[in-house]
Amino acid sequence: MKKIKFIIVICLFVLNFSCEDYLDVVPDNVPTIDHAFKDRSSAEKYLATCYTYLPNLSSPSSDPAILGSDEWWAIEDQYYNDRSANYAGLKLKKGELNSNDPLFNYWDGLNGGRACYRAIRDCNVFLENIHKVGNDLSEDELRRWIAEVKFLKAYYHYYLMRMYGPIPIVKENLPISTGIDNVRVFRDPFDEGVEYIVSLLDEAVQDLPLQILNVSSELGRITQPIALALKAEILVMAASPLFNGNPEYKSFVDKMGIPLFSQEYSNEKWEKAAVACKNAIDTSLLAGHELYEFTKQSNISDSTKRLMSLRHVVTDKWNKEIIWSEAKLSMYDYQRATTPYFLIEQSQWTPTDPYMCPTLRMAELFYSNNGVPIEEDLQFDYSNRFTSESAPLDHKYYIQPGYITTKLNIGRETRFYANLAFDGAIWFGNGRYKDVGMGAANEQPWVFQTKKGKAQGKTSNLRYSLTGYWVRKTSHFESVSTSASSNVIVRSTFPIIRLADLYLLYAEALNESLESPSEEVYKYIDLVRARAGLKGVVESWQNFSKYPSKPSNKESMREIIQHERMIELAFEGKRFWDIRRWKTAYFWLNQPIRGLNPDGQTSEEFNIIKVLYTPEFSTKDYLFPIRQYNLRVNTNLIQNPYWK
Amino acid sequence: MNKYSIEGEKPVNIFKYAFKIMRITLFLLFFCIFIAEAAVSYSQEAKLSFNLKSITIKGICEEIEKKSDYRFIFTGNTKRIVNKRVDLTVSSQNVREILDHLLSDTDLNYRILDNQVVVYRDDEKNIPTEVNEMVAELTVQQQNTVRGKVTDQNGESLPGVTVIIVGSTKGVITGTDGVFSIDVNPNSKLEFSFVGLETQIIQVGNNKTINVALKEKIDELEEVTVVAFGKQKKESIVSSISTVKPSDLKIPSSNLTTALAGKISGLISYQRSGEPGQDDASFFVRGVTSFSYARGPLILIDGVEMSSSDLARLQTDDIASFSIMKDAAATALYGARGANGVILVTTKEGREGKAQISFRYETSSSSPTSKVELADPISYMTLNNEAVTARNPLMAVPYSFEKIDNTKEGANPYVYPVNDWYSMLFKNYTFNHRANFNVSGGGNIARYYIAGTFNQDNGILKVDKNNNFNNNIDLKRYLLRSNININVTKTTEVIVRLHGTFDDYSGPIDGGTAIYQKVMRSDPVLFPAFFKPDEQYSNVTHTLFGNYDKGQYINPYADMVKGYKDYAKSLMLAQFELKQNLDFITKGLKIRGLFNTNRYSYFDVNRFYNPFWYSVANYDKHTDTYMLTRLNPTGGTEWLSYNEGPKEITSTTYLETALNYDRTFEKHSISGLLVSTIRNTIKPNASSLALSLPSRNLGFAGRFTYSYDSRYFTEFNFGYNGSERFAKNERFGFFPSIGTAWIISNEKFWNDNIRRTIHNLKLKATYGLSGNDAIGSLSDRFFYLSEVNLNDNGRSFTWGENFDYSANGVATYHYANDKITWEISKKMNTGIEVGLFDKLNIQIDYYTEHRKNILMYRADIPTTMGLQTTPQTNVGEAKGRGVDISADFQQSFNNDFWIMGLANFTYATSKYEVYEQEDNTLTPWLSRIGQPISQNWGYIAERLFVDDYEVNNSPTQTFGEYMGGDIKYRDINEDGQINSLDRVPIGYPTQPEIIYGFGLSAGFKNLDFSFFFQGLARESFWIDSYKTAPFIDTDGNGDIISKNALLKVYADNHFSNDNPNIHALWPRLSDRHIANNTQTSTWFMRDGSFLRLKSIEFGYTLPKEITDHVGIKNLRFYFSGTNLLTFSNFKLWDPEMAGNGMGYPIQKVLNLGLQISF
Repeated sequence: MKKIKFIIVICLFVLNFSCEDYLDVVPDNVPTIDHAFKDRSSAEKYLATCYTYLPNLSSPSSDPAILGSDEWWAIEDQYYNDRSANYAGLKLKKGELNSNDPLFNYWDGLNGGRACYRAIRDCNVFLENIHKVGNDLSEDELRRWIAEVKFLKAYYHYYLMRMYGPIPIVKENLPISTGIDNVRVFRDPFDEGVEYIVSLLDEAVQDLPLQILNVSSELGRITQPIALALKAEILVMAASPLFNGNPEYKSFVDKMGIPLFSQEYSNEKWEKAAVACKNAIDTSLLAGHELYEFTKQSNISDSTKRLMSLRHVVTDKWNKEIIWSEAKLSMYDYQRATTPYFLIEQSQWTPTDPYMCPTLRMAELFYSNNGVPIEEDLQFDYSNRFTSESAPLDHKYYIQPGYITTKLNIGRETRFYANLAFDGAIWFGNGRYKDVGMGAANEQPWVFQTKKGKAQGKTSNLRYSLTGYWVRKTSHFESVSTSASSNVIVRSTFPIIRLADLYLLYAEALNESLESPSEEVYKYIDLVRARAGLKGVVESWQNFSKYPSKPSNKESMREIIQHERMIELAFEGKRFWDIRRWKTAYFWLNQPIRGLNPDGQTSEEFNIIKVLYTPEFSTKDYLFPIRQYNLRVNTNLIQNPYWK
Repeated sequence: MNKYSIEGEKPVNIFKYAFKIMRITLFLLFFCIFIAEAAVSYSQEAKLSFNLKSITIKGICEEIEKKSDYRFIFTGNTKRIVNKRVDLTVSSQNVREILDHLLSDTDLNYRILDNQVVVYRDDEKNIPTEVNEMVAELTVQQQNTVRGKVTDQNGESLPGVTVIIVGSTKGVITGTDGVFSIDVNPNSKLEFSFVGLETQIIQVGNNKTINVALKEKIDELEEVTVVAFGKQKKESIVSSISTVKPSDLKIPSSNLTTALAGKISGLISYQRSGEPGQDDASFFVRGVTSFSYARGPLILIDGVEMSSSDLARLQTDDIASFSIMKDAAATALYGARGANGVILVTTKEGREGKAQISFRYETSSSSPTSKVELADPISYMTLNNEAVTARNPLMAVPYSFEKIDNTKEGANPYVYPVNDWYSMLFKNYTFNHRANFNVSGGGNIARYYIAGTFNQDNGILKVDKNNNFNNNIDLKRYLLRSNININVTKTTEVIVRLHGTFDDYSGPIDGGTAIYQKVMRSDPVLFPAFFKPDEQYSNVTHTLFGNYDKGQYINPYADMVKGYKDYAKSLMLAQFELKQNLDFITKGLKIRGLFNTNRYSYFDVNRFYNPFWYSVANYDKHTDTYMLTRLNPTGGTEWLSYNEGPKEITSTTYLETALNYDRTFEKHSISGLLVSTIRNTIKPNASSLALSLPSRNLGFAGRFTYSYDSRYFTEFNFGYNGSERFAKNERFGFFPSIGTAWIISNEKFWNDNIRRTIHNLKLKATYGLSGNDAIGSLSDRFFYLSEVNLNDNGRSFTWGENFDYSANGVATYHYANDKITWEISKKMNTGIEVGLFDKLNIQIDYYTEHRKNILMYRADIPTTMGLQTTPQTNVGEAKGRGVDISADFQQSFNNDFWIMGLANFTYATSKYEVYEQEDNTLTPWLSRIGQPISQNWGYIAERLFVDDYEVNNSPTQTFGEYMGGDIKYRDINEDGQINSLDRVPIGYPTQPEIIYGFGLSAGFKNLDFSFFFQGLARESFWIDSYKTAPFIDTDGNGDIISKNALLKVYADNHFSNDNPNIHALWPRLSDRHIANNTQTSTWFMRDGSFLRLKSIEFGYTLPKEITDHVGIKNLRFYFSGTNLLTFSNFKLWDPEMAGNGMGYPIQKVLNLGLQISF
């Protein structure tokens, strides 16, 4: 008996341990997603999370509208293979976009793109849970936060639609445990998507503040003007030829046979867009937004001041004209990639590392000083524009007088000089803040020399302008790089929507919605021109154009508005999308990319046109392809038209 | 409970042990041990009394020895029977009476000669009469007197050795000096046997003198095999277990894992790097049949789970047994941790006897097995120029003719540098030292094994004389081991094992591999390693290192000598084991408890100068003088900077309790085992809360075996495990297995005629489950919980006018899933063991395995779900199968010449069975189903494009720029473009499917010789076309410019306009990365199979006559080498390194050693 007892005791010892407890190593209250909505400060972090997905606009490696636009060309730095992401935009233009591993993939968050669907899921999580926060989040604030997140949710959808056209709309999150059949979502028709995101914005607007009062901690948050401006932009996009009854997309139906694009052109869409634009403008003015004027330095000539107004509107952070801006990158990458070097020593290893340069097309784009296109200007010697000429004295604030430069650079509107620097150009800033003719020589503005072997010209195979031109609009005039090793880049914001943009959108939408242009159309385009020192459209064309009656007709007025828009918003990430929605990309992007000859040492050699690349653009390129892998995971998805 | 006492006395000792063990939920154990011990003993004729329970016959004899002057000798054939357990109660009887009583129901007999008692097996009497007659006849014919001396292998005289004429009962016993004399006819054979030593049979012939040295049995491995939580008689093993003699693992290396390949059947093993401290070989039991992070086997050293680097540091001198559990029956007891196989190692324990001291010292030289050959600097420059113009004829070339010409002429070496970085940084060979010292011995009560080891491994880096520190790799290792066994009572044994491993490392900051890679990424002609100071800098005190531009280029010499890194790693292990015989409860019952704790720690520090960079500002050719300019006036330092490195600590405790039962009734043998284990590991400096929580494993396991008449065997095992990683309802897993075996050669019909050819034939089969809880990745701690970071500054967003109001974001790393559970492996094993001619043993196992519940990422969740991480689920399945074959052979021709052979072959393959993947109906070649687990997918490279015209008329390749002379791929789906849909499975898996090895050792008199070949097959690897692409920057550091070296083979054989060879090894040169050419494709695929002379050894043992004088028992010198010869089709580097060719090379070692024992 004793033996048996003993065995039992031992067996019990072996068997009878309370295993459950031993393996419960996880203490209570490990963080879970519920904790994110326990109090205001945690919830604010979730709010921040919803913001973090905002695209890195202005970054050449993740914003397709920067280097991907025909505004720019770039030198591929052979010693920096690991920086090839920087050249994604260049690859886009060279036709390297493919459906296997698309560049700028905002659908999946690859190759520089942000994961927009993740962003949308986080926004939905926020909207589902924010009500759980206790009393330390006031009712007003709760409503404001919800409105902001609704706005962001709308924006992420919009960003995808602009790239991909019709997309699956995610109104509500599917639970993780959703069955396989339900996660295989279909693409929603384009117009339904527009309708949904507009309704989100409408809901959001009421609860957003008109303007940010607490600027030190809230500047950058969403306001009413932002929401309304975005709504205007979305409706203009939806009314534009690419998406409004585009015959090329007529047969694009999904696997259930539902057409994903509208079948007929609808003028009503333009009317709605015009109303939305006007509404956005009115609210913006009410909130204190106005066209930008440079006031930072008073002791400068009017010419320089006007130039600075047009140049600094991009880089002057939070200026009054900016309705919404990208603030997290400070334009750092953009400035580094575009700011030229100032001393010849810097060309070997400059602190700014510029590799992007404007194409010759951009130098030709700006108006003459008469405010009309150079090819239309009766006074402009268009056919001899690539000959050399000595710069006249009246250009002394823009070109070194007497400097032999390309004729194209003489007699142009101020925006030309505000945007571009060239051989003989005067550059105000970068450590020199006295105007021309004032102060000591080394305090006066820089004079650019871009011929081979000169300070801003080609001295090695790296870091020079391939076209002989530089862009100055994208560099802050107070950024300083004056020695071979030191460099200070002044932080800035990058405008996503500014008032001039809205004016031009309104002019465009209104022009489209009417039979023929009204005074209101002229008014808003002329407001933008006036800031640039130009006369009104009607007057300018009347006096100086080969086609004096151009503004009176809807179709030719459309051309003028588009041209104005491309000039005013040059290098601001707008042209890339505009020429697509206008369906003019086919025209622009099948032309050679040109530049002057950076290997030229004399004016004659320098003025030879070099073709840098001849791109090809076809109908399929209007929309980005969906990564093929997604079609294999979700067999209900279909690829964009003409993409394989 | 029955308590017997002798002659009315009270029991002498009654021990009562209270054994407390703390656990999270405290539990108590106590048990009592009651021992009855016999009283004292007397002389030969004395009457003895015994009261012994469940003691072996041998044990009784030993008791008699203690109490009398009798010495017992057992003949070789008695072994099984003398281990039989009996009860004995006698009082006051003499030895004969006791033995008569004791041996009455066995077939043993005994004979008493003086004070020696020979116990032999009775059946030898029953020799068939005709044989008897024959013997009688022969005996009549001739009878010689043969004399001789029997010694052990160290030359010590052996008294008491039984010398028997084979086939008769006639025999003698050696005297105290080991000398014997016997009358025998020349046709007879003599059998020499002694306990613990191997029996030897020698043909008498015409010899008048026969001297015999009996060899020690290697830890009785022949008899028992180490199995999960215990030992089993070898014949009763039904599962698939490979064992290897520790001496077979002895190679001149301080890394044990490098010796494994080919030595053990069932183990896939290979080594990819030769850097001291980083040279652990990878090894997998029966390949890999899972896609979880833990693919390697569970490693248990003295029963305690350890890492592969702990195994790497074990000394072969200290190892008692090394075995590998391969099938379900062998691993089921480890339940959830056994699916990938188990390696069991036990360390030596002391044995009764006087102190055995042995000392071994080795010094060896090591040098790379092969060296990657680079092009000369002039070719480097001309081809770099070619690379630029090959892509764009208008581009300016980087090296002027002036520079090339001057370099060719050997002008000023500082201005026109020519750096052979390799020989500037690396020596041809280095010396390493290893010493091991151990003492073992003990008495009745306590036994000890104490060992100390010192290893020093040096790198092959050169040291700058200007520095007062050593930047070469110097890895010193100290190991201490102490295993003490104490018999607390007759039935209680306590074992304490203490072990410490300490690594002290000093070496270059980047580590050897990185330095090696830097050499392969540096421009040889851009600047010299350092300058001779010019006038301006003539009195600077630092070295003037060369660089270029702003000093952003790699100067590998400066990187090597600028500083050094120290690290210290230590592992302390303390183990307490208690064994209690519970025969007093029921015969054959034992209980055992083991407590173990180990502590691991690691830290490193870096100390370094920031080099000053210089370059030539201008050079006057006429006077041959140059002026230098300092490139980083503010960046360099002359003082040492310091960098704190990471610190790691791990603490593990382990508790094991086992109850054992083992008993034989007539022909029935039964055994049972119940064991419970608890393991707890904490890593305190974890990066997250989840990782900081302890890892725990709880196990309960059992084994029941039954065998009948040594012919039929059956076994049932189970493991029941719990892991904290899973939700409560999925936490425990049950893993049973069964096995059976049949020893045909023990059947009655297996007569002596058959036995002469086939002495052993055994069939066996097992089937069962084992599991794996090491699923997902190490950072996936608790699958049933979501893992979020509510304060992630990587996701912060900033608002405010001056961008200074920021809020951190929220990140989800992991979504909760409470359904996730164990990976299960169903394993089947069938095996056959054949022994031929008493010399050759062959073991063949065939196995299949089916893994289920493999955790994998769900592939069917579209991006539109917006999940931050892809959820995982237990859906994957894989199958594996293979064959393990091992054979050994042994033959002694006479006393002077012996030969031993060993061969192993392992084939293991695996394939995906269920793998969730995207829809592949249109691209079936992308499906993983049916493909091996380490299969690579890539493009089929057809050849190089002839010209741009062909490029324009071929399917578009979507990897960026390409032109004539670049690689042309096949358009598999014929859609007009080459993209990831055109990838197909190419080559063999990246892990070899076949590993084999074979070797021979032989000895003649004092000389011995052995060699071992090892090889692998069915493995493909890829030349890293990115890291070997000449002239491009591949170090991945944006601030540092590296420039790949030019391999000579590329320089000699590439596509160029002058040599438009469309089958050239390297495509058109380029000075930038051409992604088209670095895709995984058949172009750079190579066959990884090789055969190498893994090791070779010559030894010479000094004759006894000499060593005896100085009191040395044995003194042996030996010369050995490893990796001396390699046979492979691949010539660029050592094929075992596979794709890691730009890494620190595998070493060839030449070694001199000395072994002394006292």
